[in-house]
Amino acid sequence: MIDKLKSRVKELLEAKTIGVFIGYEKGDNPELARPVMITAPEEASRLIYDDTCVVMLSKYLLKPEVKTLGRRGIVASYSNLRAITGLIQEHQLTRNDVYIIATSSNDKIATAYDELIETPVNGYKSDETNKQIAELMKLSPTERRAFWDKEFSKCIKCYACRQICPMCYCNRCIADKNQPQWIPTSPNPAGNFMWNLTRAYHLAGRCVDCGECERACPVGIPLMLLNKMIYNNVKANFGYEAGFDATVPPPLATYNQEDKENFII
Amino acid sequence: MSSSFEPKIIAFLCNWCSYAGADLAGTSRLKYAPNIRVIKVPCTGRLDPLFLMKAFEVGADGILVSGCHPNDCHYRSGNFLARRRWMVFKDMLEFAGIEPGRIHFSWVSAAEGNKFVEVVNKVTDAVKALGPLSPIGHSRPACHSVLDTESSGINSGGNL
Repeated sequence: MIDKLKSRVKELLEAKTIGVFIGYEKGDNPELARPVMITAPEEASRLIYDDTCVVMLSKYLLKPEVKTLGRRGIVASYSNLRAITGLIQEHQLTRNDVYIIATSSNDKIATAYDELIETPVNGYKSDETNKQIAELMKLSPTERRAFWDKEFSKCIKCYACRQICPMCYCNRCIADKNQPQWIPTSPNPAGNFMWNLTRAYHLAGRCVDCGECERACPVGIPLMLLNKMIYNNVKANFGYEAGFDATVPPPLATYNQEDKENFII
Repeated sequence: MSSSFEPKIIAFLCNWCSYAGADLAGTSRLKYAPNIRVIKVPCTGRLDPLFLMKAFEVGADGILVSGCHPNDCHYRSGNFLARRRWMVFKDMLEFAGIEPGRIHFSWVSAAEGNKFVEVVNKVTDAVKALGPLSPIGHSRPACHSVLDTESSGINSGGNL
Protein backbone atom coordinates (compact mmCIF):
# COMPACT_ATOMS: atom_id res chain seq x y z
CA MET A 1 0.00 0.00 0.00
CA ILE A 2 2.69 2.42 1.04
CA ASP A 3 4.47 2.14 -2.31
CA LYS A 4 1.25 2.93 -4.09
CA LEU A 5 0.69 5.93 -1.82
CA LYS A 6 4.22 7.23 -2.38
CA SER A 7 3.99 6.93 -6.14
CA ARG A 8 0.53 8.53 -6.28
CA VAL A 9 1.64 11.46 -4.12
CA LYS A 10 4.69 11.91 -6.34
CA GLU A 11 2.50 11.92 -9.45
CA LEU A 12 -0.02 14.32 -7.94
CA LEU A 13 2.68 16.78 -6.90
CA GLU A 14 4.45 16.53 -10.27
CA ALA A 15 1.19 17.12 -12.12
CA LYS A 16 0.51 20.06 -9.77
CA THR A 17 -2.92 18.60 -8.97
CA ILE A 18 -2.03 19.42 -5.39
CA GLY A 19 0.43 21.89 -3.88
CA VAL A 20 1.01 20.02 -0.67
CA PHE A 21 0.35 16.54 0.62
CA ILE A 22 -0.45 15.96 4.28
CA GLY A 23 0.67 12.56 5.46
CA TYR A 24 2.80 10.83 8.06
CA GLU A 25 6.50 10.19 8.39
CA LYS A 26 8.53 8.32 10.94
CA GLY A 27 9.03 10.48 14.01
CA ASP A 28 11.17 10.32 17.12
CA ASN A 29 8.51 8.38 18.96
CA PRO A 30 8.38 4.82 17.58
CA GLU A 31 4.76 4.52 18.69
CA LEU A 32 3.52 7.68 17.06
CA ALA A 33 4.05 8.78 13.47
CA ARG A 34 4.72 12.46 12.85
CA PRO A 35 2.50 14.47 10.50
CA VAL A 36 4.41 15.79 7.52
CA MET A 37 3.65 18.28 4.74
CA ILE A 38 5.18 17.12 1.47
CA THR A 39 5.62 19.81 -1.19
CA ALA A 40 8.40 18.40 -3.40
CA PRO A 41 7.67 15.26 -5.46
CA GLU A 42 10.95 13.58 -4.50
CA GLU A 43 10.09 13.97 -0.81
CA ALA A 44 7.12 11.59 -1.19
CA SER A 45 9.42 8.71 -0.24
CA ARG A 46 9.32 9.93 3.37
CA LEU A 47 5.71 8.88 3.75
CA ILE A 48 4.67 5.98 5.92
CA TYR A 49 1.28 4.54 6.80
CA ASP A 50 0.74 2.05 9.61
CA ASP A 51 -0.83 1.62 13.05
CA THR A 52 1.23 4.49 14.46
CA CYS A 53 -0.54 6.96 12.15
CA VAL A 54 -3.26 8.16 14.49
CA VAL A 55 -2.84 11.94 14.74
CA MET A 56 -5.79 13.60 12.97
CA LEU A 57 -4.42 15.20 9.81
CA SER A 58 -7.61 17.05 8.94
CA LYS A 59 -6.62 19.66 11.52
CA TYR A 60 -3.81 20.82 9.23
CA LEU A 61 -6.19 21.50 6.33
CA LEU A 62 -7.27 24.76 8.00
CA LYS A 63 -3.86 26.07 9.03
CA PRO A 64 -3.15 29.36 7.19
CA GLU A 65 0.44 28.35 6.46
CA VAL A 66 -0.76 25.12 4.84
CA LYS A 67 -3.55 26.85 2.92
CA THR A 68 -1.04 29.09 1.14
CA LEU A 69 0.66 26.04 -0.36
CA GLY A 70 -2.24 25.45 -2.73
CA ARG A 71 -4.69 22.61 -3.04
CA ARG A 72 -4.16 20.20 -0.21
CA GLY A 73 -3.84 16.45 -0.63
CA ILE A 74 -4.43 14.27 2.39
CA VAL A 75 -4.36 10.64 3.37
CA ALA A 76 -7.60 10.14 5.23
CA SER A 77 -8.52 7.39 7.64
CA TYR A 78 -12.14 6.75 8.58
CA SER A 79 -12.03 9.36 11.38
CA ASN A 80 -10.30 11.90 9.15
CA LEU A 81 -12.95 11.42 6.48
CA ARG A 82 -15.63 12.14 9.05
CA ALA A 83 -13.80 15.21 10.30
CA ILE A 84 -13.37 16.52 6.75
CA THR A 85 -17.09 15.99 6.19
CA GLY A 86 -17.78 17.99 9.34
CA LEU A 87 -15.49 20.81 8.23
CA ILE A 88 -17.20 20.98 4.84
CA GLN A 89 -20.58 20.98 6.57
CA GLU A 90 -19.50 23.94 8.72
CA HIS A 91 -18.16 25.81 5.67
CA GLN A 92 -14.54 25.72 6.78
CA LEU A 93 -13.56 23.92 3.63
CA THR A 94 -15.00 23.18 0.22
CA ARG A 95 -14.77 19.72 -1.26
CA ASN A 96 -12.60 21.07 -4.04
CA ASP A 97 -9.99 22.48 -1.63
CA VAL A 98 -8.85 19.02 -0.77
CA TYR A 99 -7.74 15.93 -2.67
CA ILE A 100 -8.60 12.94 -0.53
CA ILE A 101 -6.81 9.60 -0.63
CA ALA A 102 -8.99 7.50 1.65
CA THR A 103 -7.64 4.45 3.42
CA SER A 104 -11.01 3.14 4.44
CA SER A 105 -14.32 3.13 2.62
CA ASN A 106 -17.59 3.46 4.42
CA ASP A 107 -21.01 3.62 2.84
CA LYS A 108 -22.32 5.93 5.54
CA ILE A 109 -19.94 8.76 4.67
CA ALA A 110 -21.41 10.84 1.89
CA THR A 111 -18.26 12.89 1.23
CA ALA A 112 -16.71 11.32 -1.82
CA TYR A 113 -12.99 10.68 -1.76
CA ASP A 114 -10.82 11.01 -4.82
CA GLU A 115 -9.08 7.68 -4.55
CA LEU A 116 -9.12 4.72 -2.27
CA ILE A 117 -6.00 2.87 -1.14
CA GLU A 118 -7.52 0.52 1.38
CA THR A 119 -5.36 0.04 4.49
CA PRO A 120 -7.10 -0.80 7.71
CA VAL A 121 -5.34 0.61 10.80
CA ASN A 122 -6.39 0.38 14.40
CA GLY A 123 -8.41 3.47 15.21
CA TYR A 124 -10.21 4.48 18.38
CA LYS A 125 -13.03 2.12 19.39
CA SER A 126 -15.75 3.40 21.67
CA ASP A 127 -17.13 0.10 23.04
CA GLU A 128 -15.18 0.37 26.27
CA THR A 129 -16.18 4.03 26.67
CA ASN A 130 -19.86 3.16 26.32
CA LYS A 131 -19.51 0.50 29.00
CA GLN A 132 -17.94 3.00 31.38
CA ILE A 133 -20.66 5.56 30.69
CA ALA A 134 -23.30 2.99 31.62
CA GLU A 135 -21.38 2.22 34.82
CA LEU A 136 -21.13 5.91 35.73
CA MET A 137 -24.84 6.45 35.15
CA LYS A 138 -25.58 3.81 37.77
CA LEU A 139 -23.89 5.97 40.42
CA SER A 140 -25.62 8.76 42.34
CA PRO A 141 -25.02 12.34 41.16
CA THR A 142 -22.85 12.96 44.23
CA GLU A 143 -20.66 10.00 43.37
CA ARG A 144 -20.40 11.14 39.78
CA ARG A 145 -19.40 14.63 40.93
CA ALA A 146 -16.71 13.04 43.07
CA PHE A 147 -15.52 11.03 40.07
CA TRP A 148 -15.29 14.07 37.82
CA ASP A 149 -13.82 16.33 40.50
CA LYS A 150 -11.06 13.77 40.90
CA GLU A 151 -10.50 13.43 37.16
CA PHE A 152 -10.61 17.17 36.48
CA SER A 153 -8.25 17.84 39.37
CA LYS A 154 -5.53 16.33 37.18
CA CYS A 155 -6.10 18.92 34.45
CA ILE A 156 -3.16 21.27 33.93
CA LYS A 157 -5.01 23.47 31.40
CA CYS A 158 -2.56 22.70 28.63
CA TYR A 159 -5.44 22.70 26.11
CA ALA A 160 -3.95 19.71 24.28
CA CYS A 161 -7.52 18.39 23.92
CA ARG A 162 -8.47 21.53 22.04
CA GLN A 163 -5.32 21.69 19.93
CA ILE A 164 -5.65 18.11 18.73
CA CYS A 165 -9.41 18.16 18.12
CA PRO A 166 -10.22 18.22 14.39
CA MET A 167 -13.45 20.12 15.07
CA CYS A 168 -11.96 22.82 17.35
CA TYR A 169 -10.96 25.48 14.88
CA CYS A 170 -12.05 28.88 16.29
CA ASN A 171 -9.42 31.54 15.71
CA ARG A 172 -10.09 32.79 19.20
CA CYS A 173 -11.26 30.22 21.66
CA ILE A 174 -13.70 31.26 24.39
CA ALA A 175 -11.10 30.01 26.87
CA ASP A 176 -8.64 32.63 25.60
CA LYS A 177 -11.03 35.55 25.88
CA ASN A 178 -10.79 37.58 29.04
CA GLN A 179 -13.33 40.35 28.65
CA PRO A 180 -15.38 38.87 30.17
CA GLN A 181 -13.48 35.90 31.44
CA TRP A 182 -16.05 33.13 31.28
CA ILE A 183 -13.64 30.32 31.95
CA PRO A 184 -11.11 30.76 34.75
CA THR A 185 -7.67 30.24 33.26
CA SER A 186 -6.07 28.77 36.37
CA PRO A 187 -5.91 25.00 36.69
CA ASN A 188 -8.09 25.18 39.81
CA PRO A 189 -11.24 23.12 40.39
CA ALA A 190 -13.58 25.81 39.07
CA GLY A 191 -11.50 26.50 35.99
CA ASN A 192 -11.06 22.83 35.22
CA PHE A 193 -14.75 22.06 35.60
CA MET A 194 -15.76 24.99 33.41
CA TRP A 195 -13.17 24.28 30.76
CA ASN A 196 -13.73 20.57 30.39
CA LEU A 197 -17.51 20.83 30.28
CA THR A 198 -17.46 23.79 27.91
CA ARG A 199 -15.11 21.98 25.57
CA ALA A 200 -17.32 18.90 25.59
CA TYR A 201 -20.49 20.92 25.10
CA HIS A 202 -19.04 22.86 22.18
CA LEU A 203 -18.61 19.52 20.46
CA ALA A 204 -22.23 18.49 20.96
CA GLY A 205 -23.47 17.16 17.64
CA ARG A 206 -20.04 17.85 16.14
CA CYS A 207 -17.70 15.31 17.73
CA VAL A 208 -16.68 12.74 15.14
CA ASP A 209 -15.69 10.18 17.74
CA CYS A 210 -12.00 9.98 16.81
CA GLY A 211 -10.78 9.71 20.43
CA GLU A 212 -7.85 12.04 19.87
CA CYS A 213 -8.54 14.36 22.84
CA GLU A 214 -8.34 11.47 25.25
CA ARG A 215 -5.15 10.16 23.64
CA ALA A 216 -3.53 13.58 23.62
CA CYS A 217 -4.38 14.38 27.23
CA PRO A 218 -1.04 14.23 29.08
CA VAL A 219 -2.67 13.51 32.44
CA GLY A 220 -5.13 10.89 31.22
CA ILE A 221 -8.55 12.45 31.84
CA PRO A 222 -11.17 10.17 30.23
CA LEU A 223 -12.50 12.95 28.01
CA MET A 224 -14.21 10.59 25.63
CA LEU A 225 -16.65 9.64 28.39
CA LEU A 226 -18.06 13.15 28.18
CA ASN A 227 -17.85 13.39 24.42
CA LYS A 228 -19.38 10.00 23.86
CA MET A 229 -22.17 10.61 26.39
CA ILE A 230 -23.14 13.75 24.46
CA TYR A 231 -22.67 11.93 21.16
CA ASN A 232 -25.09 9.20 22.27
CA ASN A 233 -27.49 11.81 23.61
CA VAL A 234 -27.59 13.71 20.32
CA LYS A 235 -28.05 10.44 18.47
CA ALA A 236 -30.97 9.45 20.71
CA ASN A 237 -32.63 12.88 20.69
CA PHE A 238 -32.12 13.94 17.12
CA GLY A 239 -31.10 10.77 15.29
CA TYR A 240 -27.91 12.49 14.23
CA GLU A 241 -24.28 11.45 14.08
CA ALA A 242 -21.65 13.96 13.02
CA GLY A 243 -19.31 13.52 10.11
CA PHE A 244 -21.43 11.50 7.72
CA ASP A 245 -23.32 14.06 5.67
CA ALA A 246 -22.11 17.56 4.86
CA THR A 247 -25.42 18.64 3.35
CA VAL A 248 -27.62 18.56 6.46
CA PRO A 249 -27.64 21.33 9.08
CA PRO A 250 -25.86 20.54 12.37
CA PRO A 251 -28.44 19.36 14.93
CA LEU A 252 -27.92 22.20 17.40
CA ALA A 253 -28.10 24.84 14.69
CA THR A 254 -31.59 23.82 13.70
CA TYR A 255 -34.80 22.68 15.37
CA ASN A 256 -37.93 20.69 14.93
CA GLN A 257 -41.22 21.99 16.30
CA GLU A 258 -41.95 18.47 17.47
CA ASP A 259 -38.79 18.16 19.60
CA LYS A 260 -39.59 16.47 22.89
CA GLU A 261 -40.21 18.84 25.77
CA ASN A 262 -41.32 16.57 28.59
CA PHE A 263 -38.67 18.20 30.80
CA ILE A 264 -40.12 21.70 30.45
CA ILE A 265 -42.51 22.91 33.15
CA MET B 1 -30.41 19.20 55.37
CA SER B 2 -31.54 21.70 57.94
CA SER B 3 -34.87 23.30 57.13
CA SER B 4 -33.37 26.75 57.44
CA PHE B 5 -31.49 26.35 54.16
CA GLU B 6 -32.52 29.05 51.72
CA PRO B 7 -31.21 28.22 48.24
CA LYS B 8 -29.92 30.84 45.86
CA ILE B 9 -31.60 30.38 42.53
CA ILE B 10 -30.74 32.33 39.41
CA ALA B 11 -33.70 32.82 37.09
CA PHE B 12 -32.95 33.64 33.47
CA LEU B 13 -36.14 35.14 32.06
CA CYS B 14 -36.75 36.17 28.50
CA ASN B 15 -37.60 39.80 27.95
CA TRP B 16 -40.83 39.23 26.03
CA CYS B 17 -42.79 36.60 27.93
CA SER B 18 -41.46 35.31 31.22
CA TYR B 19 -40.08 38.61 32.46
CA ALA B 20 -43.46 40.18 31.75
CA GLY B 21 -45.07 37.18 33.46
CA ALA B 22 -42.95 37.84 36.54
CA ASP B 23 -43.93 41.48 36.33
CA LEU B 24 -47.58 40.53 36.21
CA ALA B 25 -47.12 38.35 39.29
CA GLY B 26 -45.64 41.37 41.02
CA THR B 27 -48.26 43.90 39.98
CA SER B 28 -50.97 41.39 40.91
CA ARG B 29 -49.43 41.32 44.41
CA LEU B 30 -48.89 37.57 44.21
CA LYS B 31 -46.48 36.06 46.69
CA TYR B 32 -43.77 33.60 45.77
CA ALA B 33 -40.61 32.19 47.28
CA PRO B 34 -37.99 34.93 47.62
CA ASN B 35 -35.11 32.69 46.56
CA ILE B 36 -34.82 33.69 42.93
CA ARG B 37 -32.57 36.37 41.49
CA VAL B 38 -33.81 37.39 38.09
CA ILE B 39 -31.53 38.03 35.14
CA LYS B 40 -33.34 39.34 32.09
CA VAL B 41 -32.14 38.08 28.73
CA PRO B 42 -33.42 39.19 25.31
CA CYS B 43 -34.53 35.68 24.42
CA THR B 44 -33.89 32.17 25.67
CA GLY B 45 -32.06 31.69 22.38
CA ARG B 46 -29.54 34.27 23.60
CA LEU B 47 -28.69 32.09 26.54
CA ASP B 48 -25.32 30.48 26.06
CA PRO B 49 -25.24 27.36 28.25
CA LEU B 50 -22.00 28.87 29.50
CA PHE B 51 -24.14 31.37 31.46
CA LEU B 52 -25.84 28.52 33.26
CA MET B 53 -22.55 26.83 34.06
CA LYS B 54 -21.15 30.14 35.28
CA ALA B 55 -24.11 30.58 37.63
CA PHE B 56 -23.32 27.23 39.22
CA GLU B 57 -19.64 28.06 39.32
CA VAL B 58 -20.13 31.28 41.28
CA GLY B 59 -22.33 29.59 43.80
CA ALA B 60 -25.94 29.31 42.67
CA ASP B 61 -27.73 26.29 44.13
CA GLY B 62 -30.27 26.12 41.37
CA ILE B 63 -31.24 27.65 38.05
CA LEU B 64 -34.55 28.45 36.42
CA VAL B 65 -34.71 29.26 32.74
CA SER B 66 -37.98 30.53 31.39
CA GLY B 67 -39.10 31.74 27.99
CA CYS B 68 -42.01 32.10 25.63
CA HIS B 69 -44.22 29.17 24.79
CA PRO B 70 -43.43 27.41 21.50
CA ASN B 71 -44.57 29.50 18.52
CA ASP B 72 -44.75 32.61 20.72
CA CYS B 73 -41.09 33.60 20.45
CA HIS B 74 -40.61 37.26 19.61
CA TYR B 75 -37.83 36.20 17.26
CA ARG B 76 -39.84 33.23 15.95
CA SER B 77 -37.36 30.43 16.64
CA GLY B 78 -35.21 31.40 19.64
CA ASN B 79 -37.02 29.14 22.07
CA PHE B 80 -36.98 26.20 19.65
CA LEU B 81 -33.23 26.46 19.24
CA ALA B 82 -32.82 26.89 22.99
CA ARG B 83 -34.93 23.82 23.67
CA ARG B 84 -32.52 21.64 21.71
CA ARG B 85 -29.53 23.03 23.58
CA TRP B 86 -31.19 22.39 26.92
CA MET B 87 -31.97 18.79 26.02
CA VAL B 88 -28.29 18.06 25.61
CA PHE B 89 -27.04 20.44 28.27
CA LYS B 90 -29.18 19.19 31.17
CA ASP B 91 -28.16 15.60 30.47
CA MET B 92 -24.52 16.60 30.32
CA LEU B 93 -24.80 18.32 33.71
CA GLU B 94 -26.46 15.25 35.14
CA PHE B 95 -23.63 13.13 33.80
CA ALA B 96 -21.13 15.52 35.34
CA GLY B 97 -22.82 15.01 38.70
CA ILE B 98 -25.08 18.03 39.09
CA GLU B 99 -28.51 16.78 40.16
CA PRO B 100 -31.23 17.27 37.52
CA GLY B 101 -33.39 18.93 40.19
CA ARG B 102 -31.08 21.93 40.21
CA ILE B 103 -31.86 23.13 36.73
CA HIS B 104 -35.38 23.77 35.51
CA PHE B 105 -36.85 25.01 32.28
CA SER B 106 -40.29 26.46 31.77
CA TRP B 107 -42.52 28.32 29.36
CA VAL B 108 -44.28 31.25 31.02
CA SER B 109 -46.19 33.78 28.94
CA ALA B 110 -46.76 37.44 29.78
CA ALA B 111 -50.31 36.57 30.88
CA GLU B 112 -49.28 33.76 33.22
CA GLY B 113 -48.45 35.52 36.47
CA ASN B 114 -50.03 32.66 38.37
CA LYS B 115 -48.01 30.09 36.52
CA PHE B 116 -44.84 32.04 37.26
CA VAL B 117 -45.61 31.84 40.96
CA GLU B 118 -46.23 28.10 40.72
CA VAL B 119 -43.02 27.54 38.79
CA VAL B 120 -40.88 29.54 41.21
CA ASN B 121 -42.35 27.77 44.23
CA LYS B 122 -41.90 24.38 42.62
CA VAL B 123 -38.30 25.07 41.66
CA THR B 124 -37.49 26.46 45.09
CA ASP B 125 -38.95 23.39 46.79
CA ALA B 126 -36.96 21.08 44.50
CA VAL B 127 -33.68 22.88 45.14
CA LYS B 128 -34.38 23.16 48.86
CA ALA B 129 -34.86 19.41 49.01
CA LEU B 130 -31.46 18.88 47.40
CA GLY B 131 -29.60 21.13 49.79
CA PRO B 132 -26.70 23.42 48.88
CA LEU B 133 -24.69 22.61 45.77
CA SER B 134 -21.27 21.38 46.70
CA PRO B 135 -19.19 24.25 45.28
CA ILE B 136 -17.95 23.69 41.74
CA GLY B 137 -14.61 25.12 42.68
CA HIS B 138 -14.53 23.35 46.02
CA SER B 139 -11.34 25.05 47.02
CA ARG B 140 -12.50 28.50 46.07
CA PRO B 141 -14.01 29.97 49.21
CA ALA B 142 -13.21 33.49 48.06
CA CYS B 143 -15.44 33.23 45.04
CA HIS B 144 -18.19 31.35 46.78
CA SER B 145 -18.39 33.96 49.48
CA VAL B 146 -19.40 36.55 46.90
CA LEU B 147 -22.85 35.02 47.12
CA ASP B 148 -22.70 34.40 50.85
CA THR B 149 -21.78 37.88 51.99
CA GLU B 150 -24.88 39.98 52.31
CA SER B 151 -23.01 43.23 51.85
CA SER B 152 -21.32 42.46 48.55
CA GLY B 153 -23.31 39.56 47.20
CA ILE B 154 -26.04 39.44 44.63
CA ASN B 155 -28.49 39.86 47.49
CA SER B 156 -27.67 43.53 47.35
CA GLY B 157 -27.10 43.68 43.64
CA GLY B 158 -23.32 43.52 43.83
CA ASN B 159 -21.08 42.47 41.01
CA LEU B 160 -21.22 38.81 40.17
